[in-house]
Amino acid sequence: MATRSKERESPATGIPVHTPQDTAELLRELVAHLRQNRTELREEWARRITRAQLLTAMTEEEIFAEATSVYDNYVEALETGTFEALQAYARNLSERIIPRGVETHEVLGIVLLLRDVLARSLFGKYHEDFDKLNPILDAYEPAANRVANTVAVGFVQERERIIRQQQEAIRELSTPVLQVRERLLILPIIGVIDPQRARQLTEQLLQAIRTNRAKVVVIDITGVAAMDSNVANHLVQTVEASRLLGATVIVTGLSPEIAQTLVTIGVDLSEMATVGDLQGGIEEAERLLGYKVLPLEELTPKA
Amino acid sequence: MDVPILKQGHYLIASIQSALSDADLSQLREKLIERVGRFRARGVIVDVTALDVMDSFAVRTLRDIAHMARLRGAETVIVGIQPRSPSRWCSSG
Repeated sequence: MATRSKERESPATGIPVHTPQDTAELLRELVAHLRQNRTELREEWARRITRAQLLTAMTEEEIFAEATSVYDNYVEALETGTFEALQAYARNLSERIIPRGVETHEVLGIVLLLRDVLARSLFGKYHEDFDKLNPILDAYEPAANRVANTVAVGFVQERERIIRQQQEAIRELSTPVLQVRERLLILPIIGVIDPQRARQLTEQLLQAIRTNRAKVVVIDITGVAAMDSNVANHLVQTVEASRLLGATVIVTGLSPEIAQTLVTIGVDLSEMATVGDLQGGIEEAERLLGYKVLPLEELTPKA
Repeated sequence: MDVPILKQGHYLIASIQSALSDADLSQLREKLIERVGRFRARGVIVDVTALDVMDSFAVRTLRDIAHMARLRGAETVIVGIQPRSPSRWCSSG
């Protein structure tokens, strides 16, 4: 086993009272103890998790299975003093349990519970030999704290990674610029427009106008619930910038609330062409481009 | 006093029958703006013949109606302004 050979080489560090050899020796004893009582300690831990009402999103069997692998990884990290395997495991675990709604406090809670369970068992074993108990705890505590730290940090990092990924996805999704006809683009906006999104939206729109050589752009804001003067001004600027690139902008789908807000706060929208709904906007755009949409019967000559 | 809003083709006609309180005017504004969207109206006609005097609130509300309807895709025409009131329109912009 790879861990066996490592065990002898890896001295745990950071304990001032004892020499590294001592500590390594103690840790080895500790690990042996934890291995010996694996079944009971694991069960005790799983019981405590259930009692503390943590991990309610998971079934008892799942908790026990996870508890087993966390326990083994925990002991291994104590034994080898290396945390890479545990880190990888923590990340993997987080990936699996975050989608099921497991909270940060639950993960922290179970790791701390495990620490308590193990410390308790050490007390139980060495309570008659106080001189031994102290150095054992000295060896155990920093290592255990680091393990708890690693798992918790792994969980939080995974969370943050997911949040970043989703933000990225939302940013990507949030401003699709679509071409509906030759030289006619549509930009449907849904949700809240913050300054960053507004800036990105302008950039993407101008880019798209350029690449598609668009002549008319319909910006549909049916899905925007509210608008303040900053966003409104930004919209006006976007319209101006588009005009400089040679595209006429039609804004559609202003809700009654937005119409009222804009008039009340007095944004100058006289330069902006607005049409009631997207359908009207596209019709108007087609008119500007010289298209006429006819039913098929009118096109085919009657026999 | 409720103002009836009639739909005539692509146009909405709001015919004011009597003097309106501020609340009535606000309600008229909301109803008109909502209906412009619902009926996809292209124009709004507001008949104010029955209003002998127009205070500044009425003038501002009518102006707001015109602006808001424009944002929702309809032009507004106000008809029947009494000879006495235009000065107020000018002074309140």
